[in-house]
Amino acid sequence: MNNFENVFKISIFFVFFLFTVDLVGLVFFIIKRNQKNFKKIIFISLGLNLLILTLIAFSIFWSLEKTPPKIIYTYPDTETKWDNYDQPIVVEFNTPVQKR
Amino acid sequence: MNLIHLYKKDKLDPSINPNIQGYWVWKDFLGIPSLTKIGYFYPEQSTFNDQRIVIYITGISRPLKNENHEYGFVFDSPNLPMLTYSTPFNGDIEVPIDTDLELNFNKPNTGYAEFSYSIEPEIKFTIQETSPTQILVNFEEDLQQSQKYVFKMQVRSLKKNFKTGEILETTNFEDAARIAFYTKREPLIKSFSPTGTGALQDTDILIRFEVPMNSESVLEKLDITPTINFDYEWNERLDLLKITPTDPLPKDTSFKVTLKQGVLSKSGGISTKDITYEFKTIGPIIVKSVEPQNNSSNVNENSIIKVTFDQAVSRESAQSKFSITPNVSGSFEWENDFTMIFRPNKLNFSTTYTVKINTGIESIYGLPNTEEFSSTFTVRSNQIIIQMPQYFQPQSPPSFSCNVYAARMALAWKGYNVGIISLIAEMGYNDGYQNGHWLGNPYKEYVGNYDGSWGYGVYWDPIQKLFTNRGIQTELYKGWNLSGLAKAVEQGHPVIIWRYNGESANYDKNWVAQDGTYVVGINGQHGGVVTGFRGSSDNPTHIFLNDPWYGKIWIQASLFDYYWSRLGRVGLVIY
Repeated sequence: MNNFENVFKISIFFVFFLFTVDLVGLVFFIIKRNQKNFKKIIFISLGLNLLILTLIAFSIFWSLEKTPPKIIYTYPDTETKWDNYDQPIVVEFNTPVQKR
Repeated sequence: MNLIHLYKKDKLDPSINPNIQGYWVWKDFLGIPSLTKIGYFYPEQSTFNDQRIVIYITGISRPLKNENHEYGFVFDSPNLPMLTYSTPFNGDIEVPIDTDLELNFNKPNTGYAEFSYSIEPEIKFTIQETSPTQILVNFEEDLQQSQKYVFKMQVRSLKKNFKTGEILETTNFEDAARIAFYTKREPLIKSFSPTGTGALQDTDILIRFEVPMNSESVLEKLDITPTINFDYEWNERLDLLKITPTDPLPKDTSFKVTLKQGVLSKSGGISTKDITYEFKTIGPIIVKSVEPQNNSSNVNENSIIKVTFDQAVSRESAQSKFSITPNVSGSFEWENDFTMIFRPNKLNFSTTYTVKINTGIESIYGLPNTEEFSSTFTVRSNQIIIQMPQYFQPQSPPSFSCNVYAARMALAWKGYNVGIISLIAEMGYNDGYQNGHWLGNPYKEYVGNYDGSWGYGVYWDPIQKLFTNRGIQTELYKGWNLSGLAKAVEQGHPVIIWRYNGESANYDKNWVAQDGTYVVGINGQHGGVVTGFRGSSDNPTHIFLNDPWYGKIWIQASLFDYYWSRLGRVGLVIY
């Protein structure tokens, strides 16, 4: 997938999902009070978090790099007619671009 | 020409050509204020109708990237409303005299078109908008029977400010529709005169019947209001009655002549209804029309000013009441006692003149005018244009063959219709691209692919060869100037030019071609044909181009000169 916007939205979903799993794990950990494996669990979960976040960041940068900006929609469409002045001219890009 | 390029970072910068006042709103992307994905342009004014509009956006850069992409798209402004059908329709016969004229349009007039209506013979009417796409022309009195009427509609485009409604600019009126129809034939009566307005005081009333009449019956049923004393005379056939008032008819008075039902013909036929005619005697002078029309623009500098009155006027008196501002010397001529012509010695370019007809013109038969008349027109700017076929380079997908399209237009002007692929094949092409640079040499071939959908373009020598191959004489100028360019156009020779397009990021883009040639290039290289100019050829103020991208456009001479200078002011004159 090289659509930046989709990757960005999916990444946000995954971050929230990860946050939820972390929260559930934390609650579970508090209830069970498993003191024995405390250090090990913390180490593994932090490691997994870091790995997933790195993958998400990589996906975002990769999709950004692979999606050259272009116009995907205009009103009026090119080589057509502007129906009336009440409808503003619209330009839509395939990926977010910098305003300034 | 390059529509897309990677270069240093710039801000998102859209431009609209021709310029439309308004503002852009770039919607935040997921609430991030520095990013956007969609933008809206809200115009604050309308444009002329059916005009090609080019939008070009530079400075397109992804987040966290240092780049400058460019894209453009073109479309046309809205159409003028067009008449789809009318009732009565053009060519209708036997139209009732109490009819209204219904005009139906293909779309509503949203205020950016102005219509002008007239009818011959003249009759007063009002315009009523019955629906957004329908107009009713209400005639204030019944139409004449057995009469051909010609209704004319003209339209012009308005450039308006949306907020204030102020009209910023207009085009000239152009004919939009002509509806000719015939009213029902009058039973018994073939013709009646006088009709309409402006009847002279000593006019005779003539009633011509279709069949010989019973003269006593006619006179018995004849009623003239207001009452007048008259003598009468029948012709031998008894089908023409001439009524001669014994006293001059009063001026500015409406008369109604009625033949009540029951009039007998000589053979015993009888009319079944009242037949009424109306006419009005001559009144105060009215200015019927002035040419050039009121609010006309782009008027020819050699135009005459033609004032038409509704009646015969005293020539000296009319001339003394005529004025034009700014003052212009000139001479008067008369077509007849109704039509005065003022022939100005010299009208200035780009000047708005006001013609005034003051009150008090002496009438020969009627009354002096009581209302001042005023009309304005604007003389065109000094310009010369060579008519040349216009071809557009494709926009979807975009084409990079503007130079070839410029040549195609000039070839078509010389009578050769050749396709772009053929022309590129004839010149040869090189679509090599390496390390961000083309490998082709535009001094000897087209740099890009076979159909022009990708690439840079082509310079003068290969283009000149296209003309030489067909025996067309050309002359190539390098390091040229505006005056020489304008003088060539003045002599009727279009000039193919190479320039900067004015939209792309402006920077040099030189490269070394595969054959070792050092190519001087620019980002936004663009071609076109200069076919006109404004001002004197020594010092043109504007340049007119058949542009494969923008269409037929005017560019300010100084701006054009800069664009042209970017590739060394090269011009290929086509003889």
